Amino acid sequence: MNPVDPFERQLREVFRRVEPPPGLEQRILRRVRPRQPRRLPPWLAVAASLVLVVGGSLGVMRWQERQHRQREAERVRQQLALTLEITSRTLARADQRLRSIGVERIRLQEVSSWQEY
Amino acid sequence: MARILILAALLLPLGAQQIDYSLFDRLAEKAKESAVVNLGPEQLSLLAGMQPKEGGKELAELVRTLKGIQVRSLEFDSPGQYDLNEVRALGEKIKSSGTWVPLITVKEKGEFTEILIRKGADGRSDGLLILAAEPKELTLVHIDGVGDIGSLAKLGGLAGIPEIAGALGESKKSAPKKAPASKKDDE
Repeated sequence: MNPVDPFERQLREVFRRVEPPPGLEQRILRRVRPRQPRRLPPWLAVAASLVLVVGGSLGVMRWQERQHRQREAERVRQQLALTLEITSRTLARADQRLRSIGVERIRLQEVSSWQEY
Repeated sequence: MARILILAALLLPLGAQQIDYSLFDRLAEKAKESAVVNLGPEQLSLLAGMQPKEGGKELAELVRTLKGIQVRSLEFDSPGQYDLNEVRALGEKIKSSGTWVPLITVKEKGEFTEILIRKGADGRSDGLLILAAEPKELTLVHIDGVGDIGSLAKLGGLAGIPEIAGALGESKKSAPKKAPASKKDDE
């Protein structure tokens, strides 16, 4: 029987099974597995949703209000335009009648008060 | 009893300033076409907030002077659809209030046109009323806050509003200037 070769003895020592330190497996798995996302507390999620809903509703309401005001303003503009159209037509006819009886021009002078008449 | 009389006296000026449109509302049923405009100060203030590309600021300033606009314009199929005397009576009722002064009255057989101005408490004119009765057309224009056609003419051409052109020799460009003399001239 041959004495154990020192080199072989060295190899056997190096490759001798060594028990892993406790917790090593968990540590490795933790690094490998992806981290679970942190969950927000329920109350925070509800509050955020409420803010979004209320803010969004207010925004929509204000936009609708602005649209309504613009539509109303346009309607008023059209009615004012109609008023001036009717006024112009009526005055033009009066003007025509005055000319037909020989009144060529009526000049309206602005006075500061009625007391000046 | 005294309280009732005081209340009636307080309400009288209000009643005097109100114009009765019931005649027009009644005749509208017979009319072929009718146009009604009722604009109050709140609605007119919306125009002041408009920002048209041209003349927005000018329009806002002019519209701020307007307090109300009422227009009734009726067009009939044929003459004789209304009683001219009723319209004349309405004109007399308006004048009898004492606040409306006739500026121009043009009368012909079967028709007339009257332009009245209302004098305010400060002596300045602050209302314009045009009452025109023709065989097939009846028109009443009441503009509160404007006392002369020149001011009204300034609205024309702004924000798509038509101009009052050629009316009684006036136009927007040739508005009458303030004259030192106080008398009104008819040429």
